[in-house]
This record gives sequence, C-alpha cells and structure tokens, in this order.
Amino acid sequence: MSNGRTVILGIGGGAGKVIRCMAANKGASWLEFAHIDTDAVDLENVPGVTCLSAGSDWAKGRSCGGDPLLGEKAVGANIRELKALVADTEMVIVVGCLGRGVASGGIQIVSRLVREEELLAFFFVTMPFSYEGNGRREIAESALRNLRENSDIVVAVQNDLLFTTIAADTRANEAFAMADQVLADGVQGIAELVRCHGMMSVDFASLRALLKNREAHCSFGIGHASGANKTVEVIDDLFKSRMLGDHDFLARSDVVVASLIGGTDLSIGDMNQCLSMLGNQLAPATCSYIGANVVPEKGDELQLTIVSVHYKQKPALVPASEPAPSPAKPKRGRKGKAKVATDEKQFDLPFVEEMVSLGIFGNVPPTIVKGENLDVPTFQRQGVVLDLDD
Amino acid sequence: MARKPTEVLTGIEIGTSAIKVCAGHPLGDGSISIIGVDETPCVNKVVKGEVQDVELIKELLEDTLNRVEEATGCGIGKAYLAITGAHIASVNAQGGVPIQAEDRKITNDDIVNATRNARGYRLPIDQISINSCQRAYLIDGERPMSQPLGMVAGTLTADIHFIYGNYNNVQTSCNLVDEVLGFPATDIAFAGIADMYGLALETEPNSGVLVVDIGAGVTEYVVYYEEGCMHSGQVTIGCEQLANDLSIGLRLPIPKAREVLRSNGSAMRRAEGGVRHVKVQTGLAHPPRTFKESTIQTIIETRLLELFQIVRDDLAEHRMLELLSNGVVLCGGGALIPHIAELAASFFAVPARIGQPGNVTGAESEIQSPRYVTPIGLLHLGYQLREMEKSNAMPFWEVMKKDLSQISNVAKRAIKF
Repeated sequence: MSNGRTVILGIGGGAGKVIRCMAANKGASWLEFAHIDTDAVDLENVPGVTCLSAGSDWAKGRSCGGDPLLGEKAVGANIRELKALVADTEMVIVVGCLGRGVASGGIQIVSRLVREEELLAFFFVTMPFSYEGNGRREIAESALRNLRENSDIVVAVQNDLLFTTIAADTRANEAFAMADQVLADGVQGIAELVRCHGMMSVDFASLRALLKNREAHCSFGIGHASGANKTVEVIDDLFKSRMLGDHDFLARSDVVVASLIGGTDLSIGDMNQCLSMLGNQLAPATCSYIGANVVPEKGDELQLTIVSVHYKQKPALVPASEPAPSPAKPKRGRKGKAKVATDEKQFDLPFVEEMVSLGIFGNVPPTIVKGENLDVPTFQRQGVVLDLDD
Repeated sequence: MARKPTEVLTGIEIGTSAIKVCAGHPLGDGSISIIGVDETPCVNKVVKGEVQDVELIKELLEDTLNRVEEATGCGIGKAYLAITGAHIASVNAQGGVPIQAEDRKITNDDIVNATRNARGYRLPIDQISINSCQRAYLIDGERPMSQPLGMVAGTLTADIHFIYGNYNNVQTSCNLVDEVLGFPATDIAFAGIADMYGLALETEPNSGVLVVDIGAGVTEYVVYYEEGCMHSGQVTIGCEQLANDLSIGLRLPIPKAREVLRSNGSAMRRAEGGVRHVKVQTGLAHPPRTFKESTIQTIIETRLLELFQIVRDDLAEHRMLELLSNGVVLCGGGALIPHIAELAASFFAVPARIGQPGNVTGAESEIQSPRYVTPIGLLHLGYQLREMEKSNAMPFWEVMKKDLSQISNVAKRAIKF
C-alpha cells in the first residue's frame, strides 16, 4: 500500500493522446503511464508510456471499427499483461473516451479486473461530441451505465464542453491539442488530489463515498496562473475553463473536490487566500474536499483543479430501504375507512390512533415491509372484524 | 472450558424461542448419527433472531452445551453456527471472463476466473458475506448452463448468490460462541442455507423447491434449484407475531396466547370452527373465557397469508415462482401449526409438505421435528465442508477449494478483526 505507485491507463485512441500529453507534462514523473489499443497507428511509442497492442494476434493492428464487443474481446485477450501492469499499484486512473470500440468495451474488462484485484480505481471518461451522432452516444451511455455498476468512482465529462473556451478561429489541430491538454491536466489534478504524500490529501474512501452508486454529473475545471498576483488569477482562470459549466453551475454543485498544486515557494498565505476565495464561490450547503500539494517542477506556477459533482438524485438522509418508523403512519382502520390514502400530512397531527397495538413488540426494532409495520396484527391492518362474543 | 476436538460436529442455533444444540457423528455415507440434542428456552432474550442479552444467552448456551457434552460422552468438536435476523440480505453478483483459448473452449481456468471475478463483488463496508452459492453460468451473457466446461463460447459469466449480513451483528453471535466454547465456530451459515442441507432434499433436474423456515422470530426462505441456492431472503415475522396477534385480538396475556397457539391453533379456517369453542383459564380470580375456534383461526390465517404473500411477492420480483415445480417445504416451529401445509399448498398452488430432518440416525424421537431442521442442517453442512477440504481430486478443485475456504472461514475472520 505504501509504494505509492499510480498507474494512468489509457484505453483506446482518444485516451492515448491524453496519456501522451500527460506524460509530457511537468511534474508527472511520479506517475506511470500505459496505453492499450488495437490500432497500431495510435500506439506510437513515447518514452515513459507502456504500449500494449490489444488482441494483436487477430486484430493485427487494425482498429476494431467502433464495435464495443470487439473492443471488449481485444482488451480481454491482454488481461494477463494488464494484470501484471496494475499489480501492486496504489491507485489506477483509467482514462477512456467512450463512444468507440476499444474504450467502451475494454473499459468494462478493466473495471472488472480492478474489482477482482481489489484495487483503488478512478475512471475518467469523456462522452462523445454531439455531432458524432446518436449511435455513438448510445454506445457511450450504455458503457457508462455498465461501468457505474462495476466501479466506485466514475467522472464523466462531456466533450462538447471542451471547445467552448477556445476561440472559433483557432486552428483545428491546435484546438484538439489544447483539448487533450485540458483533459491531461484534469487527470493529473485528480492524481495529485489523492496522492498520498500530499500536504493535504483527500483520501480515496471519501471520494468513493461521494460517487459510489450515485448517478452524478461531474464537471471539472482547471486554472493555471503564475506571477505576483497568481492567487487571484488562478481563480479567474479556473472560471474561464468552460468544462466547468457556467458560474452558477459551480455554485450549485453538491460536492466540490479541489486540488491546489504549487511549486516549492507556495506560501501558506497564498494557499489560504486561494482556497478561501474558492470557498466564497460555493453555496454554504456544498460539501467540499480540498487537497493541496507541492510539486517542485511547477516552479512559480499555481494549478487549481476542481471536480464539481451534481447528483441526479439527492442522496436521501435516511436510507430508502429503511423508512423511519413514524408512529403516525396512515393505518387502515377497523372498518377499512382510511383505506383511501388521503393527504398524508394530516396523519402527522398528534391524534391518538385507536386500535393500533404492538403488544410485545412495543420497543423492539419494527418489521417494516413496503412501508407497513408488520408488528401490528394483520387482522387490525386489514380491518378484519373478530367475533368475540364470549 | 477446554474441550478436546474429536469427530463430533456440533450445530448451534440461537433462535428466538430456544437455543438448540445438536451433536452428531458423521457415519461416512452422508448420514449423521445424532449423539446429543438439547435446547433451552430463551424467550424475550432473543428478539427477531437477534440476541438482546449477551451475558444471559452465554449462560444458557453454556448450560445447553454442557448437557449435550454429557450426552455425547466425548466432548464437543467443530461447531457450526446458524445466523439469522433482520440484517440479512442477499444479492446476485455476476463476474465474467473472455474466453482466451484459441479454440474458444471453456477451460477450468476460465470457470475459476469467472467465479473469482463474481466473488470480487464488494459489499458495503459494514456488511460481511455469510454464504455464497453458485447460481448458474451464463455463456455469451445469455445462455444459462450448469456445466460450462468444454463449451465453445466468447465469454463466460458466473452468477453468484451472496447472502450477507451486518458485520457487527454477525460478530456478536460469533464472539458469543467463541467465548462459551473457548474456540471459534468453524463456520457460520444463514439458517435458510442450513435448512437446505438439513432437509436432505432429493432433487431432480430442472425442478426447484421453496424452503420456508417459520421460526419464532424470523422466517427464512430459500429457493433451491438443481443443487444450488437461487434466491434467499428473510422476513422478521414468526410465531411470536402469531402469539402477539392472538394476545391482542383475544385480549389474553401473552403466555396464554402462546398456549392457545400451541394447543388450539390452526392455519386455516375450518368449517366446524364456527360451532366449536375453546375454553381458556385466564387467571385464578376470573372465570374461564370461551372463544370460537373460528376466531382464533381467522387471526392465524390472516397473518400467515400475509407472510406467504410477502415471500411470494419477493419471489415474483426475482422471477423465481416458475422454478417451484417441486413445491414448498415448510420447517421451523411454525410448521407444527396444524393445516399449515394445506394453506401453503393452496396459496402457492404447488404441493406443500412439512419437512423433517433427513439422513440422520439416533435420538429419532427427539429430533424428528421440523424445529430441528436448522441445527441438523448445520451438521450436514459442516460434514460436507470438511469433506470438501479433504478431497483433492483435481487441481481445478484445489483452486475452487481455496476460494471456498476463504469464504467458509468467515467465522474466524469475524473474530480476528
């Protein structure tokens, strides 16, 4: 657990670009990079990146044509290599651009592998551009659904948001490079966040608790700044990154996970100022997890990464499976008068209910099935009249 | 209490009505010779299958074990403990592997890996796995198969049924047994799983049976299909609720209500119930009260029908109802209520019968009761687990065995941490 190895595993072509971008980043030397793909063209060798050719015996270096089943099969054939790669790691960050074959299919294999090996894993996936059509979106959505079932932390971001910050007259190849860089920075920010030797680290368990089994919409933002006024500028820059959504979107988020990375000269004053400014932007109810770390290679630069989480459904305070036993549940009366469920609020009034008896089950945990307290005699709940003429 | 470990297996059930202990000696042919049986009532100290007063239960368990030990004459060996209660839940987990062989035939390795993958299912952190059962293998994600070895396939998925419970609740029971015995229980099992072994059901291919164990506090149910547990569950309704209903409905003190349930209970309304009367002496100063039998029967029938309805709803939700071609087997104390089998048969629309402990010899008059199915089932389960540890027929089996023993040592792990 303590060796601190963190592997960033890219699956498919899109992720490969992000991985290469990250490998070239400053301060990424503590990370290990790997890229798995069927397409030999994408598997261009870059120092520091382990390349795995998936299903090379039958795919023969060709792409799998956008079929997730083929992608699953191809990545599945390399499961031994993957297993060796992730053995003894502290954390695996899996990057995939969903919507095409290798990423959508292969990521399922990887998610099962990490579950089997009981590793901590963080899935960072992108959803296809809307102009790529419905077919791809469906593949991506179904892959994401399966992924969510098998894994604890999934951050899904929309590709559509990637280009919103870039000026329209930017050259297309530069725009793509910039988009890759944004993703790379995001992944690195997350890696730094949970890096265990950080000054302030957010532990994996709390991230897991945030995202496990929850349909959540995540977005992330990155701000960079350097110079004298960097603490203010980094916040400004953060809000410029449109992956975050608009300003309100951040303010309305349920949970914010923030990671601040600075060079060795990061002072406590800067850190305080920066993080408290960020805190001011959030709603009071927002739950925030903040990490900070020093990376010497950053020099004067300050990088602030935040992941904003919006739950699709707010987590219930009381687990839904165990509704709190309310003593004034609408009970069906003896003659079935109250069978029609009327306004439930009315029953909250402290009326003394006639004929609801628990007997020996008065002060034991109630047996509640489908909202009914089964400790109350069935004949009372069903309004059966007993013949008691003794 | 130092006890020498011998070939004696011990089944312990800390039930809501009584602590039941059975000691038996495996005869090698699958049957077990019962050499000691005892029980101690523990009403009100265990509620809905959960121990309320640990110190008192420890004393009662120690007394019971002492009496069983005297009866066996050779001490108490490996102990197996039944677990039940409201905290038990179950889930089906699936794990898949792509078939890697060139000819795409499923090998033993694939089966082991798929099973392992499914077993990698992570329970919530405060839950602990109690039993896990192989449900089926799916070939290419759709064709269910019980023996996939050698089939040609793209992927193999193992489907496993996990029964899990709250870590602390399980640990309470395990610690209790550990402290009384002086050594930890060899294994624990969900009471419904123990029942499955205790009934010694004769299974036929493609036929399933529903086992319903109506205890005093908890009703456990298990769907047993082709030698595997397909589904299980529990409801914390049992005979205590019946007694409570009678006590409230007839306005009787609870001990009298229990007596009425035992001596005059009937699960179904009978035609003659309207004219026959039951006399109950409620106290020295009061004249005896009379009730129509039909009133008592109505109270019991409505409660039992509701209980069956809950079980059937759950089975319907998991699409288990169509598997019950072999009917329903009832056991536990609730199975002693007259006519309950008829009620179950008419409700589930399949044959129903009262189960007795199977494959046992000795002390027959005492144990031939549906109440003893669980503790005797623990002995059968213990015997089979032990046999599994002994056998080393195939290397494939070795791996499975290792996995199994990891699962089966839950009791020890529960104590260790």
